[in-house]
Amino acid sequence: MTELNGNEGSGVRDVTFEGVWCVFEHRSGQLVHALQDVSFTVPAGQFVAVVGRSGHGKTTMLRVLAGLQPPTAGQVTLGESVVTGPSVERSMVFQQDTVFPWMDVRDNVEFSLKSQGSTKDIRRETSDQRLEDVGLTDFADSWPRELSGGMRKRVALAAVMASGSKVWLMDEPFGSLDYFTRRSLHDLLINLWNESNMTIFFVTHDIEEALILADRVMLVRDGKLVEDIEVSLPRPRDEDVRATPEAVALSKTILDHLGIREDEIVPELRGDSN
Amino acid sequence: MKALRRIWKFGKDHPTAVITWAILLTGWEIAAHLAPEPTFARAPIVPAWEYVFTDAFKALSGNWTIPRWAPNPVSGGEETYLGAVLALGYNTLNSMYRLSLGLFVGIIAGVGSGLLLSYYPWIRQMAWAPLNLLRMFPLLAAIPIFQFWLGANLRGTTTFIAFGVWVLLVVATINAVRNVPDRFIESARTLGASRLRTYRSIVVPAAIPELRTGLLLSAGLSWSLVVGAEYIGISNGLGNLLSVAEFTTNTGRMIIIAVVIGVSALVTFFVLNSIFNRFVSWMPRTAETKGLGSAAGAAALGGPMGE
Repeated sequence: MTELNGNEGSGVRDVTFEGVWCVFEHRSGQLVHALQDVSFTVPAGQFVAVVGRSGHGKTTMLRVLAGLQPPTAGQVTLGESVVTGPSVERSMVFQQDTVFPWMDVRDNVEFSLKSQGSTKDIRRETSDQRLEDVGLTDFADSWPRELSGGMRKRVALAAVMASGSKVWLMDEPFGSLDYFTRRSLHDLLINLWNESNMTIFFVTHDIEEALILADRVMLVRDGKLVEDIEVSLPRPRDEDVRATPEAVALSKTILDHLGIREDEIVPELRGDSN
Repeated sequence: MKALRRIWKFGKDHPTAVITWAILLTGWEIAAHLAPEPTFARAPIVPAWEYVFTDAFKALSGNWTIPRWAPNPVSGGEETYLGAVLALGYNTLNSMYRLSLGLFVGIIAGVGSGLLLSYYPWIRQMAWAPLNLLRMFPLLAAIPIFQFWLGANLRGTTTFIAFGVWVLLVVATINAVRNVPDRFIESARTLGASRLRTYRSIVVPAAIPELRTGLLLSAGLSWSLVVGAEYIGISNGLGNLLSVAEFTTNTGRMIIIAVVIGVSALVTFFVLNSIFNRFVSWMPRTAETKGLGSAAGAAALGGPMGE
């Protein structure tokens, strides 16, 4: 088994967590168990939503997979290689805005290719293609400060696409955007995924978002993987599909497993009017 | 005419600033007339404006030692406004020359070594305590030792200014690098950037905006340092004019020189700020960054900051 912390390999491979623990010591001296004995395998090309309440370990799971956080015990593998550090094989779209404000849009998209030593012609060709994919061709020379939040997220997507990464780690990437922008980015992401067939880990606490996007929903609670649910709803998952009894039952199962009781939800949201 | 119109417009837009200055200048004039006559000095304790702009100003021509364009009062010539203007101009240029050299070397050395120290954590840890000790050291007290080591000349003065600016900026740079948000570094690393590329393309540009305060502080500091060095051991420059004014107990002259130093410091501030703005043209135009361009002018004229 090889160690993976550079730009090795580019094939599509399974992601495996084997007994991963992640324990932090809080300033008060208390131990925080962010991940507890997490094990799973995700086949290449699957779209996985990681769902859970805030502070229950979703982001830590992604950071361990990204190689940004070493596990306290256990190991993460990509194919045959153990993850020991960050790599372009596992690119991350962060919750916060990470588009580099000192680079124009094109330079942001080309950054990964430049880091990998690609020639100027290849960089240009790739960035033209990716900017077209995300509908930002006319903004190639703009500064990030001139773009809206949704447009900056599209730049981040284009940058990850241009990197050639086969595993995308997305940490509540659309959390700060309005509903309509979020929906259009969902469609864009699904289109990109259909075309490129990469593996996607999508962290969210929005159950609807998880059901719109994913093949599989992993539920995380108190650092443990409490349920692994296959989502076999037909695509595209528009409002009609999400209103089917099967989709409603899935939502309920997820709520139950996250320990959210029906009576915690306000009547209006539950559908009761009195 | 255009300049007058702009001044008039400024006055109309900033009535508070105009009133503040009117009160200060009138108050000074009243204090000048109320202050007792000095028994030992040749000039009044609080010089009235008419004295500052006539006798005191003309007396500066005594510092014009080049035997051309204006008579030299020291060798029996008449005191003239032209001589005073020439003396002020010549000495201001001398100070600015020393300051620019020292400031340039200090900025390059300070930012450069700050970035280098930040790249190697173990060197930074070793250097942190001595650097902070140096930062606490009263710089003006170091003038004699610099002049003793390197001479009371251009080399000694510029090295001294560069040293002062270096101490300020090396610490500011290390802090700026430390405050670069992790998310940019982590994003670059997951996009396949090496440690060196991440530092060069991400950490350095992300740290630059925070250097603005340090750079602008160094502009002010360098004026204190050049005036201090000239005051103690150099035979020309605004600091030297100040020491001559003190020797002749000429309060009016001191006021004029102080105003010239203040204006020169503002010019340095503006120049440095506009050069800096070219480096950070990508930054979001927040009220803060927009305002810094006019901050010096506003500070000087009493207008509100951040316009």
